Amino acid sequence: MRIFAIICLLFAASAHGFILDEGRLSDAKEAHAQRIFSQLRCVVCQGQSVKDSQADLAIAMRALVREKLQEGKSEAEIFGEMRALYGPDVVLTPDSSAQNILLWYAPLFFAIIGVVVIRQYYKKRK
Amino acid sequence: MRYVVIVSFAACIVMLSIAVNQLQVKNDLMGKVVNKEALPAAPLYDYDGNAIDLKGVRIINFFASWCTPCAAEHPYFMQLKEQHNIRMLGVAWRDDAQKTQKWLKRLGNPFDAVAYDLGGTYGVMLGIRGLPETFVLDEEGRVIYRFAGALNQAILDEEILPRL
Repeated sequence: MRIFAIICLLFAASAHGFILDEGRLSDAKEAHAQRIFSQLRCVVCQGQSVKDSQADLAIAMRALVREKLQEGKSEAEIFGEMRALYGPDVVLTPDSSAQNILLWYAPLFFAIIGVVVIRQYYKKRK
Repeated sequence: MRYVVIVSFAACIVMLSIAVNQLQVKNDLMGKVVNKEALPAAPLYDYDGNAIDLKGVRIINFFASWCTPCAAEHPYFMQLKEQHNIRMLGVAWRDDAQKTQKWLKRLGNPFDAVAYDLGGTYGVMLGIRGLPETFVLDEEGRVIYRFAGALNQAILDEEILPRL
């Protein structure tokens, strides 16, 4: 019983570590906000989304996203503003810019070149 | 065959230049010349809840009492205040307002006004990533230079003072 009480006290002492965001929205809007948080990268964390991070910047980004949703901004507008502030990497789902398309299709391009080179090599040997 | 090799080589160069360009963007954040960007339209409030007039502000410094590098760079703002007649705004970012006041009392207050960005949203609207961060504004109140990290004498003399 005493050990159980000590464990409870330890949990209570560390409870301040779980910070609940201020200014949470109504249920439907909050669910929308949570979806947006999960799509935003915490730019000062290692591989965490804004939703999962307790970094000060992530908390501030969540507050700003909630403000934007309250103002009636769309998801695309919010992502656009975040990209303008923190670069294209801030949104976890990459956009279809020319740069990204080049990066996505580069492996296919190199594979085709590889096949051509190998074919040429075997043709010459024959 | 020769063309295939040339095209592959050119493609590799293009991919490398994209990667280098992206690294460059990240490194630029340490000290970046900004193309006259307007400040966010959102208002800033002082300790008593009054809206702060940003007219004539030439330097904005984001700081907090919990930020160790902010204390390290603070003497440079005291120096700026003593030696130059520049209107400076301090923005306490995600800090307890009372702790900010105690901190400023202890280290000295070089700012003409101190704003309290308790939720941190104003800082995010300016794209800050951490503390401290300093913004230099032109006479029309547009951002012309930003520096992330603790100021030092070289940055002050070579980057900030010539822009004021």
